[in-house]
Amino acid sequence: MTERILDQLTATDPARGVPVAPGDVEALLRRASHDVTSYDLDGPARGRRRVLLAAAAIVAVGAVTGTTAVLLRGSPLPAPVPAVPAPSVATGCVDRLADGAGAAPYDTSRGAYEYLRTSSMSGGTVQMQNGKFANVTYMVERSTWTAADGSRRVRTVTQQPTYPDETSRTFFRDNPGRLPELGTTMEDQPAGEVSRQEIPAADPAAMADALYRPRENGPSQAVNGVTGLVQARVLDLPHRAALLRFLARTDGVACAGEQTDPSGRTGVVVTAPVGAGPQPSPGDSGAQSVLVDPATGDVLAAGYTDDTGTIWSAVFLERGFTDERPSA
Amino acid sequence: MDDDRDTGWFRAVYARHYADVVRYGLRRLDGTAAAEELAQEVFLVAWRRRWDVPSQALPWLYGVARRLLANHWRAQRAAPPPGELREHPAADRHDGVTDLLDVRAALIRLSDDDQEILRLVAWEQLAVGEAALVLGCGVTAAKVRLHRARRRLAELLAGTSTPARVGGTR
Repeated sequence: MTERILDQLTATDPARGVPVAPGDVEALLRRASHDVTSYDLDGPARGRRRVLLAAAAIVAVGAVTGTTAVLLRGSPLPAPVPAVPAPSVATGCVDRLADGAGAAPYDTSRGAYEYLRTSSMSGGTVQMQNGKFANVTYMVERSTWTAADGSRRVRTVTQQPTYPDETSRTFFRDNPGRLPELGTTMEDQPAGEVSRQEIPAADPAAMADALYRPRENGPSQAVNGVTGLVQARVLDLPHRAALLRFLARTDGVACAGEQTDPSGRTGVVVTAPVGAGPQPSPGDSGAQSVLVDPATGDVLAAGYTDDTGTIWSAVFLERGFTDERPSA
Repeated sequence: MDDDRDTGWFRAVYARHYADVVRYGLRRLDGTAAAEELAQEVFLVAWRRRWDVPSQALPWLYGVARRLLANHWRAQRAAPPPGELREHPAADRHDGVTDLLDVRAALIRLSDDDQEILRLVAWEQLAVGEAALVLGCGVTAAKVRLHRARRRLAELLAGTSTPARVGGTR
């Protein structure tokens, strides 16, 4: 049956046969002519082209999101307008976090497996027959035990869904196939199946080079890069400090007071505005945020902040090295 | 042509691949306007980084689109839904063929990783090596992922499903 699956799937392509109007390349080139940043417009020396650069950036982003599918309704992607980036925000606070970072309990852990446990929010939206939307959210807890060769065991626990309204609850009750499977699953992934993110050198410039890509996304990309790294790897103190100094040197990154994450841990919120790159989006798009433990420099959680507060969409619950792992 | 990344080169790449990128958006977004907006953003990045665009540009462009979508979801502060969720377009565009709806219903129950590699191969019609480039993994890893995803989809369709993995962390 698996042989026919791709054929069946191909036949369901929602874009098959959909006519596409020719785009307006001249409008795009006119827009690009207003760029306020050079974007490295000089031709490269031979051999300099890095054809996989974009793919590497994708890996970093994928590590943050873990997602590929989307439903975007009612709001096409915002069209950036040429403008001068906002002035820098004072970053002394983040430097002080780096200065004050000390040992974390897991710094002394040893073992054959790199262990990470993360809780994150997931969910979905479905358009119902009447054109309205049913929404569902649920928490997913994911634990990974990664060996030196990159092979890993993954335990995923999907918790009971929650609904914002009775209409959504009714819809998903009547359409259980729209919900994820609940409960615990375990999977072994052999070496090479999943790319393992490399830890940059314990140097702010190396962190920036590895994590702040692409720059045109602005400072929120720096925070996203940090989130992706701490979600994928266990960092020792020198690397945690370098990570914070990288953020401290990133234009637009600032502290936003103390907060407590959903697991009850309190830290300092470090934010970077969304849509504030060389081609900034109009209006206030909020900020990507991380919660930093001032005692250890550890990133405790990652989320999104706006004037209504912060939603911590990923909470980094445990990390370290161990020889123990559950059986498959 | 590779050595002369001028507007002529760019217009040719745009003409060749614009419709492909719009369709990539149509498969993941709700509506033509959003898909066209995404395509313009993708090609804007391609122009700015034209020295990085490989001669086989389409997987690279899909990769940019994938990243732009991920950033957009973050900006929307919403966790992305688990899959292609529209109910009506499949029926509208495929005359309500029940089997096809079943396939799509099964697809959205797979993990995000499984969905994406299946879409790239079945919908974007990429070779496994090209899909690997989009996903940022090796060809061997992509083959393994495709094999597993195809098997899981088949199991769901056969009603002998192993639990679907849910995205949201990685």
